[in-house]
Amino acid sequence: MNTKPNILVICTDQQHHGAISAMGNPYVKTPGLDRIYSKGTVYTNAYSTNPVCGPARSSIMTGRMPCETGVYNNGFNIRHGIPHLGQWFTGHGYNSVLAGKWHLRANSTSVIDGFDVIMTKVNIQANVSDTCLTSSVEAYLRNYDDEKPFLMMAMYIQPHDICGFVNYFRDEEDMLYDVPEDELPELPPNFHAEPDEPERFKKFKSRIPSSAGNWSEAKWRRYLWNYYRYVEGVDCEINRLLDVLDDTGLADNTIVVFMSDHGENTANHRTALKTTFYNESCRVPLAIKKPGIVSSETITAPVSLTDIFPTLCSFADIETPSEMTGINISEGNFDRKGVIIENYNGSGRAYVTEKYKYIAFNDDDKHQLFDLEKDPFETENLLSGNGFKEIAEELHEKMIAAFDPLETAECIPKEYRWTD
Amino acid sequence: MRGHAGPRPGDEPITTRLTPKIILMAKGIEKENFFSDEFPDKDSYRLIYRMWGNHQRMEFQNKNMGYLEIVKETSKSKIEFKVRKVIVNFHNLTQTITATLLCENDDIITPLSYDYSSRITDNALCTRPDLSLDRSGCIEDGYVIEKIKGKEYKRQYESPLVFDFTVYDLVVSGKEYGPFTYYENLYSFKPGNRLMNLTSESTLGNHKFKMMVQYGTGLTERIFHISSAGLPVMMVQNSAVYILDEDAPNAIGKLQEELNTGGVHYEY
Repeated sequence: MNTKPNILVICTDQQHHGAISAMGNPYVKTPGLDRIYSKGTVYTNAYSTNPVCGPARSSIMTGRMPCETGVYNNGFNIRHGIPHLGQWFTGHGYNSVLAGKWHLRANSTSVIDGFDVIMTKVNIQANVSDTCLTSSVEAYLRNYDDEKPFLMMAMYIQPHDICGFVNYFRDEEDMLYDVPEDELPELPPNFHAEPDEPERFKKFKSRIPSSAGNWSEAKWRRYLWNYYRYVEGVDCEINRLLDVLDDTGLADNTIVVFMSDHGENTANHRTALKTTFYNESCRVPLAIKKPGIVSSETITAPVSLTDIFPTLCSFADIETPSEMTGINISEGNFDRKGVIIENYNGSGRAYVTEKYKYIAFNDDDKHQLFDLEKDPFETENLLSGNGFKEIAEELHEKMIAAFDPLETAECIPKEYRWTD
Repeated sequence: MRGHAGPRPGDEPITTRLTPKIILMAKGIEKENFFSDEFPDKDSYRLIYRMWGNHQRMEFQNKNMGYLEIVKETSKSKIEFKVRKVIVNFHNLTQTITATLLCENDDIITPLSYDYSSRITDNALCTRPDLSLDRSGCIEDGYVIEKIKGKEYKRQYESPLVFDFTVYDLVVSGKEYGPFTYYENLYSFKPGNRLMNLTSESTLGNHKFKMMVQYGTGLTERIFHISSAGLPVMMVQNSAVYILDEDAPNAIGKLQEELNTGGVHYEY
């Protein structure tokens, strides 16, 4: 007789933390995600470990930072010896199933030790891929007849198609359809902000036409409009999965965990895509819905994608691996003041608290400090003037102290190793 | 080219009736060869459309994606839509969907009932029974009565069911391209993400298509242009469907040749 809960992990790709109607966004309608957010624990300061797919996913799968897993960019395997969720949960009596995007070395694969892979990313557009994912997960759940509990990882691809949009619509005249003006989302308040940015970030902006000044404001708004349509596409799929849980009665014993691997810049700081330290790129949506809970609660303390693994272990009442960077955040009373983020192959690092975000680089003396309480849109680098040096030093020390115990994977090239 | 203002997110959901022209525009660029407002004015007909996917030079076998067959027989007053869709991904996991939708032969092709099956085979080409799913249903008084694994569910009928299950790769804009009719392939037809009616302003001769498209929960009018090279110059989702004319000689070979020599039409 199974007394342990089933766990359904739903992960989208590149979803801005606020691209959910339950979060008050007037430009998007997400009835599926609203079902989770209205009756779940919502983490409003959840951060990716690195705003790039592969590294972030290595953290979700292992509870470790990318510098530990060795996945410092896309295209790498998790370092040998670090168990991932599939291996760990299968070893502890769960049926571990994965559908959709993997992106640890290969973008998708049908063979992953520890996981029963029931559908991979299909090599055509994301919404076809995502639809296949849903129908395979739906079939699996409707046919489920096992005393063992399951861990189902539903790894969607949308709204990642915004990458294709940004790359394809390089010029104004490519926009061959028109959305009525009053339907277009407003530009964010920090659209014009350039808060004393490091060279690394300026280089990134110069490489993508949208950020390099080639897009008019009208085009930025149309990009936003399209982004929200991609979000709604994946929300339709999520809604279907939640219907399946309700239809089958599995909802009574299934914990639903929703997250994204990283965010999307959504025109903030006149930037699209991800790969920046700004909140739109680094923060992720995260919510957990447990059976029988009828109201929502909000956790504002900073949490990390490394926390997913140990939190799932606590739900399943199983031990965590002996080496674990993340912590169990299921109860909301955890004692942690800040989280760490890597970026740019690990040569950039950040430390984030509820109040401050401190950003430093290996190869650039220009660091950034933002007061997230007073300046949530990160428009003013407090280190531009002469003040805040002490706070920056304190946060720098905390960042170093947080990274120090972590064992850097040997496979990471020297040029990408942090030197302090 | 200002688009028509449709409901914005948060407004009432839009529903549309199934009509021939939102199922498919097919066979050739000439307007008269497209479906007119009604199905063919014949007692019996059988229209078969085959679909091929195009992505990254087809090297990952996502081809032969199935067909749509529309059947009306004199002996029956109804119209059947039979759909088969096969998706083979590059790890040989294969999903095959077959579905039949029975509709009234009235002006709006009212859906009556449907049968649907999905099968997934693993990379050893073995069908996985635990991933097989059959469902059937009928539409009555604004509700769908659906049966899955012997259990009955009653749901609000919100959209043409054909969108709900399978024809999610067909259609949008078409262009004759050699022996092919070339289709942009944009939208998943599923609840909340539906293709809307082609407007009466379609001006194929001017190399423009204008359609009403519901994208997510937003509704917009989209205009598709055809380049001087004969290709749609816009692609949102980076893939396409080719529908071959039944009588096109060596059509498959020609398609492959075009793809091989012409390269990737749409890079991701």
